Amino acid sequence: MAADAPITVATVTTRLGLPGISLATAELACDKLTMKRRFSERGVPVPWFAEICTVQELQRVAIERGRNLVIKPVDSRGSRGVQRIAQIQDLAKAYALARSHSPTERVMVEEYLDGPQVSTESIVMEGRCYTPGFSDRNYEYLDTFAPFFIENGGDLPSHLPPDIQTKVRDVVSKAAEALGVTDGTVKGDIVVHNGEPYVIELAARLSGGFFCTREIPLNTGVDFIGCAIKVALGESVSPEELKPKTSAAVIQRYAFPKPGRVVSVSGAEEAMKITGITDVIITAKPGDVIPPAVTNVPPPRWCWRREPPAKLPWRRLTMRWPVYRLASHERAAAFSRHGSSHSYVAPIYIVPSQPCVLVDRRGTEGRGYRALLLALATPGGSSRAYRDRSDGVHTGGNIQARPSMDRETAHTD
Amino acid sequence: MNKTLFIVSGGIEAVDAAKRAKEMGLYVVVSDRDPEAPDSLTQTPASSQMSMAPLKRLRRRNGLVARFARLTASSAWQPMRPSR
Repeated sequence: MAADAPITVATVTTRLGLPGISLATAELACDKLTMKRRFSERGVPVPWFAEICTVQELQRVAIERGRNLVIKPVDSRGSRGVQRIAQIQDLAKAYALARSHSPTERVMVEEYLDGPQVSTESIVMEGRCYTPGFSDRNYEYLDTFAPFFIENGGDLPSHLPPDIQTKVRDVVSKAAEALGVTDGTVKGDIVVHNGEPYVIELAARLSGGFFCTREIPLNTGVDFIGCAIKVALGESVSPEELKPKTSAAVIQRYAFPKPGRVVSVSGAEEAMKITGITDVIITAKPGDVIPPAVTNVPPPRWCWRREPPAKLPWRRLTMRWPVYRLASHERAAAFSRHGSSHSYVAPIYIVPSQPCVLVDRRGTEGRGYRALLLALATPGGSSRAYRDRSDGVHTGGNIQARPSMDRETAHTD
Repeated sequence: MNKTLFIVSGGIEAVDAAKRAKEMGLYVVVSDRDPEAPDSLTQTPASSQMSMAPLKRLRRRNGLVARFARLTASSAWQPMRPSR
């Protein structure tokens, strides 16, 4: 349940004779290298990949194949240590960082495929894969946090055309079969490159980030957790239960504060009063230290910082959002304490429901969504808070700001 | 006899699943290595010992579930009668 512990789960289910994935499947799911080798053997499309054992090997691959590569630990999670080679000068440092996040000290590289990325969540029953969970992953801060990959939320329903979505679902089904999941849940990370889906990763567990617990039910009306529990208990779930009943718009965003120490928290109740906001989840407490946002590493403490922008017509609205005030003198200490390889998972999950989310396929946004965007803390002092949805399909790096939003985007420092 | 759902890792997101399981009339057991985890902040009722026993035996015998720092069955999630 939002935890990457399939081997523990498989150990328990195997020993106690309970339904669930096998140990072999769990081991495949926890090792990206063997997982991708299996996918390749079974004809599941994956980006080119290779194991890297030395810095020299990494340098050789970068020369031979170019720098359009991603380096990652073989057996970590949450984007820890994952870096884009094209935006790195020191390959030795990148290799060391990736290796430091691998419990077995193994590293791999794979080709970086540009294109929209989607999260899928499926329930597999008797070998048949049902995928009601389908979300566009939001990477508008990709450049800000380069070479690291920071996802700051997701949008449902997906903007991808139906035929592409069908292709993605087929690939997920094939990948689940390749891993040997016959009864259970799988969470897919898929990139659509030149109209074709490729599997970045398939996890044999339930998702995190409240995707399965809140976003999928809000979007589809499917009781995903209830169904997953039934499957875990060995009970049958009818395909009808997994069929989406609605296609409500749901937007989730995480906030990324700058490093520092939280000295006060206020405004959460006011934030919830904004029409259409269904959840504002804050876990920070005064005294918590915010490390730098580099990779999606779950922190011991999470928090969100927000200072009201001074020049915004929406100031009144944004002022209603939770405000964390940081002692500025703490920032340098936070940086040095945590180093550059640690970070936090964004602490706030904002899930507006349909009545408020006034974003249509042409990119028309309404007051609620605008307020939502402006209310989010923006790293680096400025943010392109809106991505162009007008073309229907994102292609590589197609993250644009609407001029009207640019003028009104919050500058938090 | 009610079925038991065992949730590995009692983070904040497991709370939703535990609540849903309770609504389904299940008995819930949660493990987490962090004693401060959201799902393990409740007292363990005596009646939970029986349902946790197989897991505890497993840990004791093989050390297979080494990450279990704590096993709890939340008193807040005592089995409920399914609504009819």
